[in-house]
Formats: sequence, structure tokens, C-alpha cells
Amino acid sequence: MIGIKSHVKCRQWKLFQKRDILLYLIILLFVVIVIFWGYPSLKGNTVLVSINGVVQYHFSLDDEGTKRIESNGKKLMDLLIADADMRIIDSQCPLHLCERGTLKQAGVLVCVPQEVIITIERQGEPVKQTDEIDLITG
Amino acid sequence: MFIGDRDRAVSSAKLTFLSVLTALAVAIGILELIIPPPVPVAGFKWGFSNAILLMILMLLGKKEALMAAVLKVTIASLLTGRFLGPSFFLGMGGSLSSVYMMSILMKRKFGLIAVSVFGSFVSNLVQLGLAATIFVGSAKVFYLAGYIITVGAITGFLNATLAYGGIKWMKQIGILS
Repeated sequence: MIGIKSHVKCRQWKLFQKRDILLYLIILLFVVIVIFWGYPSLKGNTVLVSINGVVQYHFSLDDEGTKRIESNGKKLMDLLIADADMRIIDSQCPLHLCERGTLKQAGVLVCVPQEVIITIERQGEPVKQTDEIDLITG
Repeated sequence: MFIGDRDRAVSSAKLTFLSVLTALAVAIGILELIIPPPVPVAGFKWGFSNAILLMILMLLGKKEALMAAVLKVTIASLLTGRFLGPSFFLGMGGSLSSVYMMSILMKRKFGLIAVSVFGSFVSNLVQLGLAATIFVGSAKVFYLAGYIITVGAITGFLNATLAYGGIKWMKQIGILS
């Protein structure tokens, strides 16, 4: 009988190499840039809900309660505003990953299957109706 | 080309080994959906099934690892009802880019942990890029990058340790020499 033992080449791997530092530096640099340049403000009071890149709803974090988010007459999710924070509840997406965490914990809530992104804006800031891509990486 | 009994047996043995590892990757991919995430971030998932892809890359090669990545994402998405949905394309983009990047770095003799951590980094970047450009239509998705990449680095470290330990264990019990 022929087993896998004699047919899989198993070379010796090293967990660490000196040159690895280069890869860690690239990651570190990227994270630092993201944190200092792109981290969202959490001091705002207005929640913007964009569907497929277009702002469709805005709510105040003082206006507590459940808000229904719809697109073309179809319910996408409910938003629960409480204690000056917001979370997604009852999302119609398959995995409900977007229901994890609150807006103030992460700075942004994203539901990819429903094409929804929720951010905080400072009160009084002009609300852009479209939110076009201004950053492309990778 | 004539394929003799021995060649056929060799390819069957490899195929069986690849199938078992791929099934394990699918099972881990589905199981991790019910494990609470380490950070309360919407959309975040662990990536422990990548430990199996790394193992396949180490033992069988790039072609087999890419094949396993395609099968893993396809089967897991069929079983969870999200086949051809956005998460399917994000998973496929992330897995393929990660395997491809890890194979390049392995050829250049980087350490296993750095290979896995950077593979996770590339996978996260590709997924965020796809989400921003194709699905959500907003670069604000990158607000999540700090969290996701930091936790991805931890997962990448654990994946490399798991893959390394897994292969060591397979050698100890005599599956591999």
C-alpha cells in the first residue's frame, strides 16, 4: 500500500528569519498611517447611513429608539440607538456579522451583503450625498 | 502519458491527503462563525482555516493550496447559504491573494510566522479593497483596517504556530516523514 509518507516532501521550515523584520515594518507603517490619518472621529452626534455609497438616512444619537433601514421598499436592518451609541439589530444578511459591536466601539459599522456603511459625523458638518471612493490600495 | 499503477496510487494518496485537509479547512471556516470575535467589530471573522491552507502550501505546493482555497470558500459558502454573494467574493479574493502572497514569500525564504502574518495582512487589504470598491462603495470601510489588520496579525501568528505544530505532530505519529 502506498501512503502519503513517502510522497510528500517535508522540508525544514524556520519560524523566524532576520529578514522578517521588513514585512513587519510594512504592516506597522500601514497601521500607523491608518490610525493617524484615517481613524474616524467618535465625537460626532449624527449617524449617517449610506447604501451603496449614497447617504440615505441620518439620525441623531440623542434620538433613542429603533430605526428601520430600507432600500427599494425592502427592509435591510433595524438600528437601535441607546445610550448615545448605536448597533445593528435584525439584519437581513445571512451571517449577521454586522450585528457585532457598536458604532462607537469601532467608529464604523459595515454590512457588506446589504451594501450598508454607517458612520458618525460631527453636528453641523455638511452631509455629502455621495461618498465616492477616494482611496484605493492593494 | 502512461500512468502506471504506482503513479496512480501516488496521485490518489496525495489527492486523499489534500481532500482531508480541505475538508478540515471548510469545517474550521464554518465553526469560526460561531466563535465570538476578539474585537467587537462588525464584519470581523477569525481566519483560522488559513492555518490549513498554509499547511497545504508547506507540504504540497502552491497549485494545491490555491485549489484548496477555491474549494474551501466554495463549499463553506454553499453550506452557509452565501454562494456567489458578497461574502463569497470577499472570501475568495482574500484566500487566493493570501495563498499567492504566502507562496511568494516562502520561495524568498522568509520565516513561517512572517509569511503567515503578511498573508493575513494581504488578505485583509484585498477584502477591504473589494468591499470599498465593489460592494459598499465607500473608502470609509478602511476605518476598520486598524482593528482588522492588528487582530489579523495575531491570527496569522497563531496560524503559523498551528501549521508548524500540526506538521510536527504528523511527523511524530508517522503520517509524514
